[in-house]
Amino acid sequence: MKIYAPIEYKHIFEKMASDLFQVEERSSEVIFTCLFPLSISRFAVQLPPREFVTFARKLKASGGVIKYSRNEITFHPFMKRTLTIKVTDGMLNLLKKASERRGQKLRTYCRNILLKAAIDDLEGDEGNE
Amino acid sequence: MSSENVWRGKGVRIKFPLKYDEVAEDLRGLGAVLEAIDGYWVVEIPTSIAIPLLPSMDKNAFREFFSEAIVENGRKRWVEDEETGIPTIEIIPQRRRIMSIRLSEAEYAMIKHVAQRLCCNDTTVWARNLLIKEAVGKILKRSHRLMPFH
Repeated sequence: MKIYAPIEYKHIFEKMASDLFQVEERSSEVIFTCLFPLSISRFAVQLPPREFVTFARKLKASGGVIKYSRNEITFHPFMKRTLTIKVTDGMLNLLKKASERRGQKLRTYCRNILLKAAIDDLEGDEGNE
Repeated sequence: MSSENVWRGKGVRIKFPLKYDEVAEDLRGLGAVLEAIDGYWVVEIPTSIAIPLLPSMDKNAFREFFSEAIVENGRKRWVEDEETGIPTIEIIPQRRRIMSIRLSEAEYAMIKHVAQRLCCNDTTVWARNLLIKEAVGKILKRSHRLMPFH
């Protein structure tokens, strides 16, 4: 997902830059590439409520949607892919129970496990290089 | 609620004669649910499992155990190590449920990349193993015996 913002907000995105969230500067705008759902808190960027909403309104997105409230902006990349796994009844029950214990939906719980493992593995890889 | 109650009655059941109490003890150590019913040990486990050749058994006795073991809600498979020839019995449950996880293009690409590197190019096998490890690994005491590639 790409987020386009006016250049004056470059400092906000630069703080979040990493291997998974990249910032690119182009003439009058900043392009922020984010691979995962992400949220920006107003308190983290230290903007007054009105200015925070103005900032949110100036953002444009491709490959996903932007939602905002007075205190938070969230970026949701489009979920175009589906990973289908066959499991046993017993295993499905165990996963449901585990997700309930964490207070998450089953699909969120499974997504988080897979993504965490993938990120850990990729980061470990880069550490070894 | 104990973790057993979550999957009891839905796991793969292995039935074998009471004379194989060493195998039963081995499986009990793994955290499986074990009962003696009508002259048989009945073991229930929620996911795939590998039963190795025990030190007290020779290959023929193990083969006999394989043919006498009855697997319900799944299947059994005899596998021999290519180099050493040491046999293992794999118990594979029937997978009747389908679970779909929605991902973005980038997330899918990342998962696929890691899965290809770690698990024979099969993304779903990698994903299932990871979820099994997370959900079942804490329950079964020796989760390294869970079969990685099925």
